[in-house]
Amino acid sequence: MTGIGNFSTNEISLILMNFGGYLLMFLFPKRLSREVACLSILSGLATGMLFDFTIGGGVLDFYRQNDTNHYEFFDVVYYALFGPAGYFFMYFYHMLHINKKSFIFYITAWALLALALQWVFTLLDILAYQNNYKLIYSFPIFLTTQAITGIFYEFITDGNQKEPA
Amino acid sequence: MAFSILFFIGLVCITTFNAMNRQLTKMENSALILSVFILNVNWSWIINFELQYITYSQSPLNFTAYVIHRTIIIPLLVVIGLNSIPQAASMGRKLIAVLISSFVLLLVIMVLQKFEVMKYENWNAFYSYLYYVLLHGFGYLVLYCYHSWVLKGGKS
Repeated sequence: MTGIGNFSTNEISLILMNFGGYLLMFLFPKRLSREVACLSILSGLATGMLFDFTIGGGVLDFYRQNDTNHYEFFDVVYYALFGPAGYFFMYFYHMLHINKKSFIFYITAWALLALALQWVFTLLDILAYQNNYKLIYSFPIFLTTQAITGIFYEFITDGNQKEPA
Repeated sequence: MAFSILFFIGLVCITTFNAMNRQLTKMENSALILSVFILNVNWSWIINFELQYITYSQSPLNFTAYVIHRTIIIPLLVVIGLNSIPQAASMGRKLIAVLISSFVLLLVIMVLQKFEVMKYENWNAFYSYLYYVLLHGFGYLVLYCYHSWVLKGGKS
């Protein structure tokens, strides 16, 4: 285990992105109920960790986060970014009234956005691919995670989420 | 072999959770599963891969068995344990349910050891058991926070 590692571009970027993400969450009008908002953040964190600990480490080890392959404090800061991502996925899902017909367009848009963000992460040295991994391999993973999150949203709201009072 | 057995145990956990008379709402259960998963996946990584108190097989199928155990079986068994006792039950009954549920989790660990998916280095069964008991305690803490901050904190 490493503490903070070499404090450089990736650490500064992660702090700024987290600050921006959580600030936006508080500034945006509250459209999700407290229960759904809480579960959206938890589902974002869990989905990110599931894939990072499965394909980003262990036997596969397709990418390195931050400065080393070991667990460090800024890996936690990186995982924290998935919280606002999960929140805004459900936020816009609700706001745009996504239905069965628009579902595929919505998850494709989010998968493309996630792909673009992951590309930015590689530029900022937050992620570094290894073992012949390529950015495009993340596309089916993002499509799967976004689809599961969409289905999860439908499950917890019974497809009928109300605005908070 | 380990993969097939762990896959079967995972499926048994899913069907049991689906069929059981759950004491918690689907929102509470979702919050519980996700929170227990988040804690457990970080804990497993630190204990197994960073500190190497427990080592895991590098064989792809055995590693998949480990992933099923870490991702599905542990969170679901904890949530099944917490759902098996009514919220209004006495502390004693809750404690007994937690101890039994933790023992079931320990039995799964024994299966993993039997098929050489994992091996204790500077670790033992008692530490695992203690961790599982504390994981159930964490589950109760999540429920307490969920009721205090999410449900009572502001009405949706």
